[in-house]
Amino acid sequence: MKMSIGTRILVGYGVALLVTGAVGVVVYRGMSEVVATADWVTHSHKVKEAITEVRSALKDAETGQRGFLLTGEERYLEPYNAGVEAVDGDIQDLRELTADNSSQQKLTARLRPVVASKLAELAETIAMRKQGNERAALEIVRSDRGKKAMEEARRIMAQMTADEDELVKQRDRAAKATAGFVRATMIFGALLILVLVSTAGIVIQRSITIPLAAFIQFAGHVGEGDLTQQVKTSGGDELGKLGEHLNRMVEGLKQVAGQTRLTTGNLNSSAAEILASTQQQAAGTSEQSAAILQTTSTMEEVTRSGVQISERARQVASSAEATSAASLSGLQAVENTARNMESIRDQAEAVAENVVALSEKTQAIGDIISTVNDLAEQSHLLSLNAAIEAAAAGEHGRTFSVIAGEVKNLADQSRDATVQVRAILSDIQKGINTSVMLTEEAVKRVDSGKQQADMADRVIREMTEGIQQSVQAFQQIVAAANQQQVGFSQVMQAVREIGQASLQTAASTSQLEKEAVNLTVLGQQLRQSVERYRI
Amino acid sequence: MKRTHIDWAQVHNRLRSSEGALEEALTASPARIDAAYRERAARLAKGRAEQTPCAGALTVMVFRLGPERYAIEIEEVAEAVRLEHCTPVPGTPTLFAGVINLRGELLAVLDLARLLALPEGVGGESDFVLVLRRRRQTIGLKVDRIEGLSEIRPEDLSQPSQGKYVKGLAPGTLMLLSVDSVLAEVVSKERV
Repeated sequence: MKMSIGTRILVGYGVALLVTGAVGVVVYRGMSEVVATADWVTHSHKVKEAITEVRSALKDAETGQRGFLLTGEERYLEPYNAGVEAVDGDIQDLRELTADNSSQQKLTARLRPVVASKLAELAETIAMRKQGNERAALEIVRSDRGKKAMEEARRIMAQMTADEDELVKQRDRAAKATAGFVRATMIFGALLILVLVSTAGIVIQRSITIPLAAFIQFAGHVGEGDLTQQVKTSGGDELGKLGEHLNRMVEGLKQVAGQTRLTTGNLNSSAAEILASTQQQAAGTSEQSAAILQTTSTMEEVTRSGVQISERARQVASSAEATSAASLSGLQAVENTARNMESIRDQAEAVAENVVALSEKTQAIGDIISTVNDLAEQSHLLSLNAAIEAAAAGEHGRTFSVIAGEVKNLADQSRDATVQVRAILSDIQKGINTSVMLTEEAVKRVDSGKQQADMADRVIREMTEGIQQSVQAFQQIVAAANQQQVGFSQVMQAVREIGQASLQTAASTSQLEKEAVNLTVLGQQLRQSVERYRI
Repeated sequence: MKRTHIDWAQVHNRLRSSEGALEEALTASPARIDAAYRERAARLAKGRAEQTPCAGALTVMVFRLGPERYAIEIEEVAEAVRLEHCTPVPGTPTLFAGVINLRGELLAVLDLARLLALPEGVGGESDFVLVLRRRRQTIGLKVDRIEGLSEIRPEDLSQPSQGKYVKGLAPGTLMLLSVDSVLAEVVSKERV
């Protein structure tokens, strides 16, 4: 059963408290009974005392009566008077005291007439004695009337005393029984409380001290820097929560230590870098001072050269204007070139047409030549047959054979001529082909030339624009150079101020270097203190 | 591309001169005709002097079969004609190329290149047929090209070492064929 420690303590001590309360109530009531019984005993003693008072008052009255009767002297009546005077009050007291007891009331009621008759007998005798009638008085005494009344009164009172004694005895027994019960209750209650309190104490002590010891040991480990452990948590009571919080705390501490270690590493490297940077800065500052001196002299040179630049820019602007005008005429020439190129192309195409027509004419010549060749072949064959016929004619055909040979020669010449013409025609055709190809090439080149002329046109236009922009730019350069002169003087002033600032920077850099050394030392100390933790 | 520029004046001159030359060549002027005649007469006189007939010389018809030059005696030849519309005849020996129509009569044409066992392809451009002068049979020899007439002196002829159709060898690697042995071979082949 999981209870919080506070609940456990409350339950343990609450049970003990309840038992204690019960025991207290029992004891209180027993004690009250005992005290009440004691009061009643006292009351009984008071009743007995009151009875004794009545009895002694009666005795005083009888004693005074007897003395007066014997002596006749008034002074012996004093006890009688005191007794008579007291007896009524005493009986009244007795009746009041025994108001709770009916038997005693009855006895008291019986006593009252007996006492009255006794007192009447006494008063009668005393009155007779005063009258001097001693004898009558004695006679009354001797009648034992008084004596009986007295004995009766004694008996009643003795009865009352005995009753009271009996009551005292009863009450005494009751008081003793109650006292024994109270004692037993006190003893057992005390034992029970002892057991409960000790059990609760042990249980609570164990449930607190054992985890607490683990926590103490754990805290000791943490204190020694061991963050690798986790404490065991048991249950959801305060210690369990304490354990969880401790674990979370150690986890947080672990993160903090890890981050701190990481940060310290970064810090150390950063500090080293800062130190290095600071040293570089110190070196750089001295270089800067030297550079500023150089810059100052350079700026003076730049100022002088700026004047030259301004002059040169002015010259360049004027020459660029001249170039712009020249480029316009160049543009005109390029346009003419393009037009000429187009007309050249037209003419070259016409040449190609003519050459093709020539080629067709050549073909016609070839046809004629093949006809001539055919004729020559037939003539040749004819001459052969003529020679055969001449040979067949024998001696008569000899002259004819000469003519046949001549015809053959003519035919051969014709054939040779046609062969030559064929060769020439072939050359002509080749020449025509070459011419057409060359013309085609020329047309292509002219096209290319036209494109180049167009390109040149564009280029010159762009160039002209560029030159005009250059003119504007150089004019701006001249203006800017003037402004530059003003700017250079401002720059000179600024460089001097930079020189002063670099002196200040050198001073602060040395200070920064010292601080960086301190920072490095601090970082190392921090690393040592963080490395105490194992994570 | 020529580096030097063309001289247009020279070009015009050349054109004019060639035009004039052509005009002159095409015009049949009397001077030209006269010159041509004189040249031809001189050449004829020269030929006559060279062609002095020597006694006993053989007049032969020279023709070509492929690269080879052959000749037959002129008396054996009746006519030379073009080989046109040669029709192969089924069932004839392969030596016969076919028949042609010669002025209404059929003429058998002998494939001389095949008979002489010349390499295949030779005779593919045969253009002419030599018609042989025989009484019993008319037959033609298929030849590539006819060169013309020539005369062989008998002392120039040498006997061939081999070849049954060659009658003799003349200068200029000219082989004189024996028409009789050729025809005999044809007849023997026909019988087979």
